[in-house]
Amino acid sequence: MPMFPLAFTTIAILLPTLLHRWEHVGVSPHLPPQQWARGLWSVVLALILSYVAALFALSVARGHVMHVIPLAAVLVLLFPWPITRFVLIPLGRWRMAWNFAQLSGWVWRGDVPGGQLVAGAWAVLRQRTPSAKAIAWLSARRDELEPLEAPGVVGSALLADALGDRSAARRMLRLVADFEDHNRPPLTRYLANEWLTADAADRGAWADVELRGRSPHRRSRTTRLLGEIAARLIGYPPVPSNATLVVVWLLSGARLRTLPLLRRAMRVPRVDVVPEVRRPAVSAVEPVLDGSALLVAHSEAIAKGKIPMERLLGLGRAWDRLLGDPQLRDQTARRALALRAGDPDQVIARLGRQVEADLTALALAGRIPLVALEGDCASLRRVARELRHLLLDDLAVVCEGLDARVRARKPLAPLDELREFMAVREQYEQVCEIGGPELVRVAFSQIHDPLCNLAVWLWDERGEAGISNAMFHWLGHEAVMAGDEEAAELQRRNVACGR
Amino acid sequence: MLEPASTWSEPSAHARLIDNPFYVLELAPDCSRAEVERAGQKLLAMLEVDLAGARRYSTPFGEGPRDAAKVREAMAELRDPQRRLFHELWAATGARGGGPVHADDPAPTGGFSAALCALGWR
Repeated sequence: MPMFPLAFTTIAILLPTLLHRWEHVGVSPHLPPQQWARGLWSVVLALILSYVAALFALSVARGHVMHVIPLAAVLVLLFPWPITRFVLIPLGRWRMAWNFAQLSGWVWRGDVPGGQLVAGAWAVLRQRTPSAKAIAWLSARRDELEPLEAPGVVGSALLADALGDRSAARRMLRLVADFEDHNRPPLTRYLANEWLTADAADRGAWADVELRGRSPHRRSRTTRLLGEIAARLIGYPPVPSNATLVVVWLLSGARLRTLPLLRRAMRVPRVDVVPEVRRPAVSAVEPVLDGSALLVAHSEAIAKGKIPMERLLGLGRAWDRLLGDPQLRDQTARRALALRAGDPDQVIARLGRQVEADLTALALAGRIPLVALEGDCASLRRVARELRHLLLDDLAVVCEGLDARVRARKPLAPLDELREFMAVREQYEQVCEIGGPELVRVAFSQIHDPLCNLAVWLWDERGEAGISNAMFHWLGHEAVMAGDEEAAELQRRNVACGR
Repeated sequence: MLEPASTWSEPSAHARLIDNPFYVLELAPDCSRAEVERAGQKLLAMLEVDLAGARRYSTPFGEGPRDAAKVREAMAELRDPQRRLFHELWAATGARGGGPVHADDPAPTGGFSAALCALGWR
């Protein structure tokens, strides 16, 4: 066989193979020797297979049609992940995707079962109606994953999405960023970012889309387009021009689907929105709510369940005025006399307590910062105090439950351990968001020990290095934010220990 | 654990608003004690024979389900003068309130519903 065509065909097959693998393996000088060895073996294998494929390709070109079969088999071995990603997953062939993903261990850095779960769950998501049988089968495989690594978390998140639980999927995929690089193949971070961008765009959270779509990490061209469009919609500098948007749109992979969004973005004037403008303007003249208007406004607010901060502050001030109004007391006293209802002040006090309970619920639902409630309004100050106790008490209850379970060494499945961690984390983040810097330190001191003990238990006794490292990583970050140097140093040591 | 916004306030505040005894018994806040008894007995009889109209009642904040237990509870609330006075304050808003307000009205988010399809997740 002539050498030149053979060498040329071999290189023609080898080059895209190596580029593809390079992109997914994420070569870095910080990788451990085991990963380097795996990567090297992958390259050697690709070289051999490319040579074999070139031989068969040339043979087919010379008229040996039967050699198409071994050529196809070698190509499957060379490109298992592209075949899974671009053929089987879009077709919704979940079982085939599951089996093919087994061949692409290098994409998942050896966590083949986790990768298979991602491929299968993604294929189920692409079905018109996700198959319940497939979800049950994949969930059973998911429960067998030990230890749970980043691919397993991504696969579990996609299964949650297939079941319609988007918020659970969102929580799990956000956690992928906290995994250490050696427990997280680059593809998992990429997929998590893609899903979170799409989800944020779907919800209209454009600031989040802008952050993810313009991040320096690897992202698809469609994600890049969404990032640019988000920047235009919210006016985040540098705001892209119409020409930039059109170019990015032309380069993106879903032009027809994104055309309406592109048009919408181009209708928005190209203006940088500076932080002063972004801050919601407080209306200078606040409408005065009196008796009946106040009751109507209050009833409507609790029927809606959530109101903006300005309206809540207005309600609080109006209630303060009404509850201290002598006219209300006179009217209530007259009505109490007619009904023989006794002390009217008791009824007014009960009304005040009910109002404060409602305002507390509204402040919590609207995630109103406590600092905004600590103004000149007595009712809202009481609401802030109540809310502070409520937030810290609920966090303490969750932490105590977790701590007791860890001390009693009652294990859950790795994914359930992760869910419990995420529940505490979510509640802690809510406390920090509402309570502000005043509560961060207190809340962090509540969660640190139980979560650290959980992570140490998972690491030392259960071999769950991936998820425990993600926990250490997050705790270390929060320790710095809370200004707890001792805890930050401890978590730095824990993270280093896991490397 | 804290619950999400949509579910936290509903069972307590919104349900309390709809379950005001004056709405359950379909009475005006200034009704007499005898009217409370008459309306209660009439509704209990209607529920007994399972009349369709008796199962639900309308309020300015949306419809609510009605059963015998709720009617008896409403009557008991209005028999106590102090508790009645308290409910009067809230029920008085009904006459002045606007149309029904639903807690689950979707807020216009300005999202892009085809995003998950565009990025290959659907």
